[in-house]
Amino acid sequence: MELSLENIEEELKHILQHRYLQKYIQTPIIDQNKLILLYHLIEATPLEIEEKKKYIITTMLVQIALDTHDLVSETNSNESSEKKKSRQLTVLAGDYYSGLYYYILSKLNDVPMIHTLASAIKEMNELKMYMYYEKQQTLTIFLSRLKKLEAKLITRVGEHLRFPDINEFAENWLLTSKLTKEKHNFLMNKNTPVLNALNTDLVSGITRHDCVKTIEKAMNKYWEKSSSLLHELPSQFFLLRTELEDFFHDETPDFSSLLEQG
Amino acid sequence: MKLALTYSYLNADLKVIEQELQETLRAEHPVLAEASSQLLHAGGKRLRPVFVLLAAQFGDYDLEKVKTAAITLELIHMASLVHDDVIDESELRRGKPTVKANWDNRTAMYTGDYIFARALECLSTLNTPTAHQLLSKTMVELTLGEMKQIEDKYRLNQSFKDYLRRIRRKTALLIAASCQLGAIAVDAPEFVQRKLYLYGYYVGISYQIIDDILDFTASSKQLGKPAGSDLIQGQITLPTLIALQDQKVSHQLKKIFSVTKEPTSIEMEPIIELIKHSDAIERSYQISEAYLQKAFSTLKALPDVKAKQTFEQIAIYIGKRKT
Repeated sequence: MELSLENIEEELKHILQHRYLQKYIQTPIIDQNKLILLYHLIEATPLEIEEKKKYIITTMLVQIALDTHDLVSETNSNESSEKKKSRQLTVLAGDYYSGLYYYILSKLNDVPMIHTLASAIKEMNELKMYMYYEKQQTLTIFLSRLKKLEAKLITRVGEHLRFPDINEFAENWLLTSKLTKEKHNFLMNKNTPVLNALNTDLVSGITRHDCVKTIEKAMNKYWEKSSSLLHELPSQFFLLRTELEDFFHDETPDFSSLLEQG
Repeated sequence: MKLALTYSYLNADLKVIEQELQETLRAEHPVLAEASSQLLHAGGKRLRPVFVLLAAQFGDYDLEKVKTAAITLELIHMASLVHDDVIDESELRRGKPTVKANWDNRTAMYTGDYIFARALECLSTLNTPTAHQLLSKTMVELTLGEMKQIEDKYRLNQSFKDYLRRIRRKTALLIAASCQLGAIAVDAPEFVQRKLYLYGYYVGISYQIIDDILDFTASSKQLGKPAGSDLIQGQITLPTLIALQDQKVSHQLKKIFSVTKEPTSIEMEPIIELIKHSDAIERSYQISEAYLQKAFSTLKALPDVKAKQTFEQIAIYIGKRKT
């Protein structure tokens, strides 16, 4: 039996389904870039297929649990009863997904992996607190924390599986991808936490336009870094390299539309 | 009799656990460290570590092994309280400001997740798969129980079975798991593990029923919130469920819930008084007592060690507690 990305995603979606939750909270978003990286990372190991599948699913469950908790509003002022229920269930949904990661790995008797993911959660919440509270941090520090945060689960799993070679690429590529999502959300007038932090906390008096330009500059830098790191990945990641080389070849960061609106 | 006196011979070990809890929650980020420390110093009965330590007396007691389970259980309990305060919008817990009140929801979410992670890191120093299987199943059930509690709000046509299933998940399973984990940590025989699990389960059910009774009968000062708060928030607990068998109560509650989506405490006051002075309170006590009796008879099959007597005393205390 072959391990397919599509099957894993289907199984993950199935696990995430909950009759009551889906009535009140948004469907959890599966980060495709993280899923692809995890897939290739774990595919390179000699683990049994069932174990590989469980490792990918549990790591993604942790990511989804933490992302879900990020959706809880900072305060509860002027909430309608529907919004209140949604907030309450968002808290519980995150707890539920975390519980599932633990449950699945405990059934595999994989205590070391439970420990690895728990350590990653601990470190990610420390990082989130630094990013949330430190108003005096520079843009460089902010982006370096964001880079660590975005890739933390993958880098910790990489170390656990003794494949840390993928870490630097993962950090740079996932940061590029995060900034790209911010750009997209900005264009769609959606919530953009990174741009907001930059706009309100990091650089005093910066205009929205300059703020966007700063992010684009960072995007470009991490894009180029990711592109060069991709070529240095070891041979075990041949398939990942091939898949992403096409991606890097086909797409170049195009900021024009963003600048027009900025 | 004070509960703590029943297990005072565990005080030295509980002190070690308290110190290790502090060590475990020494976070790098100052707000995270402060929020965790605030939670620790808010006190609490440390009931779960006590159950772990007592259960461990039925095997080859080794504090080094047992304390890991005790700390983990308390951390899991704490993490769920921080998140519960976000769910319930609680400003105070045990008379002190909650993490979400002192900071905000976001900080409470990160703190809860951080404590949860520390709990699992802690337990994973024990390479005992059964311990992880038990705890992980309990945690999933705990969350499902809380979801069901939200789903069942203001639903008057629920059964005793619905209520029981909810409190089983909400309270009883974590106490049952605490007892079994203590026994697992010291490799107690499976028969003992099973009996201790059942004892914790029955005591947990009884504990929650008494909690639900006290929500009607205790004073606002004792509760730290208005009497009848559960019903005001739409929670249909055992006293209400029994009182609903009376046409007058049933008619009045249906009327209130059909007119207002979230009734105020003033609107609910007459019905709360009605339930408080009905025989629903006494009948709820009788059901709680029946579960305590099951707990007592479970203990009978266990070897005669000092902890067995303490478990009996704890059960007696739970049946009589007023706050």
